[in-house]
Amino acid sequence: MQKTTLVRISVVLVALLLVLGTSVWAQKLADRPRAASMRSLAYDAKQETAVEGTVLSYTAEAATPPIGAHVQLQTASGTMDIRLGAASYLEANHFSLAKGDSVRVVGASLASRQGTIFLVRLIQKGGQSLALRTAKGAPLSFAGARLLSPAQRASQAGPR
Amino acid sequence: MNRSIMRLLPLVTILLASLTAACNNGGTIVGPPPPPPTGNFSNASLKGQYAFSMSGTELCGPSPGFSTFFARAGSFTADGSGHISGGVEDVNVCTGVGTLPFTSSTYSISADGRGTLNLTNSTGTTSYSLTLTSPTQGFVAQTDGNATASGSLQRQNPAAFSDPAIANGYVFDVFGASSASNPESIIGRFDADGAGNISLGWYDSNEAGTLSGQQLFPAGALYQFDHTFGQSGRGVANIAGHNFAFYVVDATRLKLVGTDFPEVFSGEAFAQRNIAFSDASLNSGFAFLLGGSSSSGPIATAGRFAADGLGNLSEIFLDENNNGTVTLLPSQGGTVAGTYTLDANGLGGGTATWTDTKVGTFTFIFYLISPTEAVFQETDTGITSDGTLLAQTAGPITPASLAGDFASVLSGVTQNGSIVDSNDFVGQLKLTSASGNNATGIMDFTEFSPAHQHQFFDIQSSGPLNITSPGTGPNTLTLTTTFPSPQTFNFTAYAVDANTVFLVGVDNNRVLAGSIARQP
Repeated sequence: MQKTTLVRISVVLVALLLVLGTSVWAQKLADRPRAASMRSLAYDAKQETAVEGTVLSYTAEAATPPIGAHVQLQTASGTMDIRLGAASYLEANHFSLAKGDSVRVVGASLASRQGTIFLVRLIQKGGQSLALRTAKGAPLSFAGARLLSPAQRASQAGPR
Repeated sequence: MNRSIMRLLPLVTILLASLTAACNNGGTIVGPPPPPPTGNFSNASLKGQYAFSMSGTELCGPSPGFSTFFARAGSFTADGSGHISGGVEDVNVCTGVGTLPFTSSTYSISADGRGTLNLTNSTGTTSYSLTLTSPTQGFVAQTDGNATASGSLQRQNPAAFSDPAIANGYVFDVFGASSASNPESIIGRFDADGAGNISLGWYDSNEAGTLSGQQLFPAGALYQFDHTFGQSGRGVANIAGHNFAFYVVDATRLKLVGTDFPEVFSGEAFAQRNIAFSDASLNSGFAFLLGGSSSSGPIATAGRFAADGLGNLSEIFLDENNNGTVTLLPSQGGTVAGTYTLDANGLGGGTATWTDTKVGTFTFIFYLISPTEAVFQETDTGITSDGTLLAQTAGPITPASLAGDFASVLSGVTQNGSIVDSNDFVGQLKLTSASGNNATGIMDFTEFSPAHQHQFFDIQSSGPLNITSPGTGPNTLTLTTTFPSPQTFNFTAYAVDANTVFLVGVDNNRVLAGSIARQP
């Protein structure tokens, strides 16, 4: 048999083994609790809308992801699942929510595995307005406190 | 003392600790006495100069306070007998940046490599828990009420504390927050000439999902050792247009902390293999671990793929925990295929992309340190996440090959009732080749939020590590604690080799990422 033919057969066999190996591997992992929905949790500032409504319920602990505070909001067009991020950020800003509060939120809707959710960038209640996200849509709970005034920032300073 | 009273004492201690935890918004909780530690570590194991770096969460602003990102890096000298004779650190905290020398400080290392470190500077004493993987390196976590953070430490080589020693190509990766408080990752590479000059600097920035594309360093790039703290291996650098303090581990590794306020960065630079990189440079299985922030909140990702040296990726697996939403690849009914490309300039930059037919496309960039190691950054919309890409052993990975003692480190967040805690864990994990409960752990960790700051010590856990042959894909590790309350942690474990395993949490109520590294 010619050397080139042997090489071709070897390549085919190796490829076949790789395919079979991957297939066996895939079978072994078939019971992984996978889901088949699209992954779409990116905040798109170009899709921002403003919504007004009445708080039906507020909880600091959402029953379904994403982790964080959660509001059921009654709007003129139905109820919405509003996600506010870390409740501690609201509390640090002395911003509270309760059933019956009238609020206006600016944010973006996303299709998540749990259904459509609304990520809030700005929330207003009465005369109070609080930004929860940067203009790029990143949660201010990550590092927003670094933009406080020097006097405000210093009030929790401990040993470094 | 009456024997029955002696028997009751541990129970009383546990109850008091539980009550302390339940009643206060802060405090220390110590687990039931663990078995005596075994191993060959002692105070003598920590001897010499060590560089450390870490990042995490601190409290900032008026009561009750904001949780916010911070970073620190530094150096200390251990005498082998429990004393820290000197050192210095750079902190970038919400009150600003500072360079703080250490005064008389202490440490303690037990036989299993676990220990404590108390570093004192002019602002007070900061307490850490640590676990050594060897006398030359280990993992460290801040475990006091002031902040939570985790990172690593490595023994320094003072012979490299000079400009001429830093003469090589270097690949770097820093993560933190921009001046607009967006999460930002910057990865890239540069040449240091041994005389304080930096050339051929390229970087890619990802600020809250907005990509810079590959850019040349702006003017002003440099590095120089510090006259005041040079004996600690400290210097300053301008990299990719940002100012850093650096601490030299040796000529191949620098620890970085950003010194421009209000932005903050933490990371490292690694000497790059001096070769012309091409697609052929990636030709094996690779495991990766990424952490960062998405539009939704914290995100952690681990996985693996095989690169064929020709630009094709196969055998792609991935576990992503995006603030509690867990995505696993391949998806149910989906298939995954991908490609990669190295930059034509041969400097080690490249891109990788794969698509799951059901879930969508994942995109990444990387800079190769060598054909077996890279810094890795996700570039998908709304995601700012980076980490490490390491060549996997050819396998197989088996319970027998993984049996042994490991140092462990984890970082992330947990939804704890109505509170979202920041967490950092450091400890030891013992693996056996038995089936069933073949993993037992002991760890110190923090639960840190404005509402409470708890520090937990000597918390034991156990559970199964299930390896799916050939072991280089996704494996599962489940650890359960019983004290102070029952908790189960579910991880997917990607083995780099028999000595290193990446872990990503796959629970919906927490986002955790970390690794375990073999102890001798």
